[in-house]
Amino acid sequence: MKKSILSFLIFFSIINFAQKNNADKLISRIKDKINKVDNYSSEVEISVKMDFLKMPKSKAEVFFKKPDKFKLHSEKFAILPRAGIDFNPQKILDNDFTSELIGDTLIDNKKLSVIKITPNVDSIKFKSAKLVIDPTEFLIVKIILSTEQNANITTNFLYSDQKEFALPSEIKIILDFSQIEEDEKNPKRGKTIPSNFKGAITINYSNYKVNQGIDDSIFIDEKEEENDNSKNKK
Amino acid sequence: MLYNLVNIELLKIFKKWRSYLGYLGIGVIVAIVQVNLYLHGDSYVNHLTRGLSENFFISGNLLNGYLIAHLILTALFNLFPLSIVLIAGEILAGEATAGTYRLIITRPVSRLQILTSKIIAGAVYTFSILLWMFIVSCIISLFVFGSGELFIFENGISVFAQDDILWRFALSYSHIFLSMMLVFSLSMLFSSFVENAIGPIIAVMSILIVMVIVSQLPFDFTQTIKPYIFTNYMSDWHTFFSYDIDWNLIQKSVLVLGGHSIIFIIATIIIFLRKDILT
Repeated sequence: MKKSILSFLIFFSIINFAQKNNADKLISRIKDKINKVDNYSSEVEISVKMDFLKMPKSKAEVFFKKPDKFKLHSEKFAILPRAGIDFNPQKILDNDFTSELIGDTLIDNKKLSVIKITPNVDSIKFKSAKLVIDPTEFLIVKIILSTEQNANITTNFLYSDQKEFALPSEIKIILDFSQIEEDEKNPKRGKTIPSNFKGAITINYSNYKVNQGIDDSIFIDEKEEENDNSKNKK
Repeated sequence: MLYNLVNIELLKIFKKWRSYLGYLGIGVIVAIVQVNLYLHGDSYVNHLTRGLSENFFISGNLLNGYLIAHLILTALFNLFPLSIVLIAGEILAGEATAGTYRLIITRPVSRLQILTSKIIAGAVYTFSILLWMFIVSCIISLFVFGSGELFIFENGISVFAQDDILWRFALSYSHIFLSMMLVFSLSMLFSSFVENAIGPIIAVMSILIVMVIVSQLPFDFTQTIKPYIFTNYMSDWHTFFSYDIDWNLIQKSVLVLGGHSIIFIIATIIIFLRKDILT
């Protein structure tokens, strides 16, 4: 009896180790792809459908530079969720976490791997994340993220001509803040913005310019720049 | 003939200094708001978007002429009736006070023509007040603050594209014009009863204030009579600044405001035609 239990535990450990190993391998390959991108700019078309925010489709330009500089630029009004659009999978993948291959799923008749990521340190701001990964092209197809405040953010990725850099042609972000726990003593949102909301934002990317160099000045906020100038004058 | 009569009535209106109080009040308040927003507009916008900017990247000119025009229109909407009442309250009673009633009705024009010319002159004055409001709040703000999308912070946030804004302002101002014509016709009705303009001015303002207060009271009775209080329909122009315009609400509102105006005008005509003028 003891032997059989011991055999089962050894077998389970081997399986578990193998799954973790597979998950780490997949993540490592994805990281390699993402690491190829030092900077990029792209034109985006943003479509927002949210409970509390109604707006027409808007166009903007986005700029990204390693490690985490992100800028949304538009003459007209444009809005993008912070959780998602400046999505740099490295933000998740560079953290101290435990990954586990938890199975496969079929999307558009394609067999995809599902990896569960659990942070190992408290400083990370999400509770858990599930990555749905294309194991043949090493692309993230979906991320399901649960934050500490019980917000759920599902991000779906479509790819076309920038698969080499794992840059999507379309991102659809589904935000579910309906279960969010707000600090009642220190409410952060204004009265016009509800604490709990649901919605979806679709971003279509075009005219990618990858690794063509982006000046740091692009990422300086115009207001901050004005403030700096006025301080210098003084 | 009517054209001449209207011109004479307009001359009477614009000869009085109190006719310019409305323009002055609107001009001063709008200027104060614009100067404040010019100096501290960023903190105002930050306050409005508090919470939103924590979760979203926002780009674009939020503090633009359209936002300010809408903000001012919402804030000053309640000032319009006062400027209309000041003129409409003495449109008939003023003739009695000045002793010119008999003089005007002995001319070879009918009483109906005289009254019609006064109503048209009142409509022109009302229109000019709203046009002034639009010029100072919207056109000047667009020059100073530039153009951009319109943000409405009501039941969430609605953002309207630049080419989707002006028609909303046009319909809102049209609705407000209808509301102000109701105020004008009620004031004129009261003005036809008396020989001193102060009475109609105070009476109409009192009625408007009481109606607004009563409809705000959270009691069953006041909520029951709320649909019959015409002041409730005056602020329905807000619905033009939403994505799902409630056209049934607008239709009802136009019928109520227009219907009351017509009733008050007919009542004024009956009283004025049958009035025994002794002054």
